[in-house]
Amino acid sequence: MSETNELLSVRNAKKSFRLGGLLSTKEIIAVNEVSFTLFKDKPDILSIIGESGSGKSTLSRLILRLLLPDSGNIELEGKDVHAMKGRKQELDYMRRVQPIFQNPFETFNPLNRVDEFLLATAKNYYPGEKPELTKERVEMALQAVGLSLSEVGGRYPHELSGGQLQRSSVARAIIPNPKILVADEPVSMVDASLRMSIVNLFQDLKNKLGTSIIYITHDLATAYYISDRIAIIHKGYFVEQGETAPILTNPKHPYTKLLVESTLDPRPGATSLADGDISTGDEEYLAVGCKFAARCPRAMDICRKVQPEETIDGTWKVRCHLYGGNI
Amino acid sequence: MSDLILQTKGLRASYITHLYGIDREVKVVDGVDLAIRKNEFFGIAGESGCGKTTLLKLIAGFCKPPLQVQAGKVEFLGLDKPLSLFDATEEELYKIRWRNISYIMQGSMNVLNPVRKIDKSFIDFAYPHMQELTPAQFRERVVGHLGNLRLSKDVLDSYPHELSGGMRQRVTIGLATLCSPEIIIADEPTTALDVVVQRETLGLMKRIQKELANTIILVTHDLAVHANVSDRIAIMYAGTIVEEGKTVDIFDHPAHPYTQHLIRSLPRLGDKEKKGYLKGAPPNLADPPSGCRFHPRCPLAIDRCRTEVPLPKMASSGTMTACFLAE
Repeated sequence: MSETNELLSVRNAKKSFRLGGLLSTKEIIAVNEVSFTLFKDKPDILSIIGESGSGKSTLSRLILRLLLPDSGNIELEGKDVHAMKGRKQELDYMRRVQPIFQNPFETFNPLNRVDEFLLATAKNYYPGEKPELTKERVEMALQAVGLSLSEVGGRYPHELSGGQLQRSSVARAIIPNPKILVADEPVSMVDASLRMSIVNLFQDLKNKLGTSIIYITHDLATAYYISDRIAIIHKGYFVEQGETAPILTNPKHPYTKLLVESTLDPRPGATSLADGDISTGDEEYLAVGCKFAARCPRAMDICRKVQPEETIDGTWKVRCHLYGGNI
Repeated sequence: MSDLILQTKGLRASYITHLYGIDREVKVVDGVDLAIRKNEFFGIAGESGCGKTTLLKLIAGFCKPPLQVQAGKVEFLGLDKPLSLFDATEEELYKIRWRNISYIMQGSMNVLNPVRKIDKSFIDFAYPHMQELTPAQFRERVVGHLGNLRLSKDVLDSYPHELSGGMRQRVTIGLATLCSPEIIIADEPTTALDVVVQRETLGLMKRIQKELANTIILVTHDLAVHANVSDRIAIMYAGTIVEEGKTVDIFDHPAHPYTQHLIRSLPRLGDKEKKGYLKGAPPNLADPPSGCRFHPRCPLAIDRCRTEVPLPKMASSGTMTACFLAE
């Protein structure tokens, strides 16, 4: 088992939630038939892109073991993560997969000093080590994000700027030298200028430490900027996945096209703004057939009846009746 | 009459607190002159904590302790004679609020009362300002108005949680535009939204501005938004306006080093070039740097910047720029 090259493999993961009250039978499948793999020999930044309410965060919670999938499995280096039991295995898992949260101001306890929190984290992962060694680990993690213990030492979260705080929260995550970081909307709360510093940091971590990053966002511009691979998620399904640049410059799935068109081009008047019903609520989850059919400009009869299968078209995977000879 | 609708002259305001015998003064708005015209989309951009929201509050005539105006005035020019908002009586202010100046707030989920149906929210917000209508007439007006925003009248009988994010945002826009005000103030209206809803919301705001031929003052840190909707932009840094001009001029020939940095660091689809970011943190406004407030982070700072405050002057690109180096 240990010679597998698969670092993280998600196979047909599915998670559903019941909608409405106790007796309701309506069900939405927030993550459905999702499969992807990260490899050991090639650190990757994988962007998972979708609108709000498309199942992005549910997927990240499944990977982080915060939710149990209904079916399918998630394996870390060949071991099912949801079969891990007991403190030792859990710690072992947390050493390898670490989350980065959306809001840095909520990551830290406002009443605790940032450095104390980081030291406690290091002690947790490496119990019984000499204090000097623990300190060194924290120092190394801070150095990797462009900070140092002397900068954050003795400071409370409110005394640091948003950028320093988000960097500290990344430093917290890399203390145990994880193989994978799961970053759920890490830049949606921060300013445009700060955004680039965080995104550049992810790229550095990948290049210098060989950490793979699952970058969950709805911002296509930064995803294009840093990620190697991309997966577009729509109402629980991966509708398109493969290498970032070809997909975003030449999208196949009509949903990806909609997202690309909606991304604002930062040049005066370069984006045509829509005025109409291009967004939607959760009702799409309940659609039979392709969930996007109701909004799709190219929808055919079959789209409203049959859920398309994932097929390979050219060099990447797409889930749409227009491709792969499904017509 | 001039074509101006609102102007601020030498506006200076601080948050002043006396806690435990310690006096603290945070100078958030420091010498702001704005001349906002009729029939324009005016943008204000800047990092978080630069005083954007405080400036908006002052423009709307909200000034309650600890916020204190120290100098300057804000004049609303939409009536027969200029109305100075800080000298106006409570009654005069009440009359122009919502009728002449209204707001679209950030986070539509928090604006709408979660336990009131949408029609009740309309009555709560707008009806007090439209007393000349009977309740039936008012409802008719609301239904017609929502139709113009492509919302069916069923929306009125829904609770906020029953609507999608895009619809909720349209409801808040509907609330703000019901009385066809001369000025609509929008504070980060799309920041928490995903790209599809953002594009739809901006398109709607742009259409409304054209239809009513009124003024929208849009505040957001995201320059990509300004590029696509604003006619003119003011760039704010640490309580001062550092550059102001037509959107096209600002984007094509930014004259202030801060603006140049902001525009250079914008990510764009199809662009993998490494983007820089600004080192350092925004200044503490309780103790702002001497001279130009941007000098500690400015890559081009000269000695003069540390001691003297630059005054805005017309740069060759046609923008008003507060920088000694701008030509």
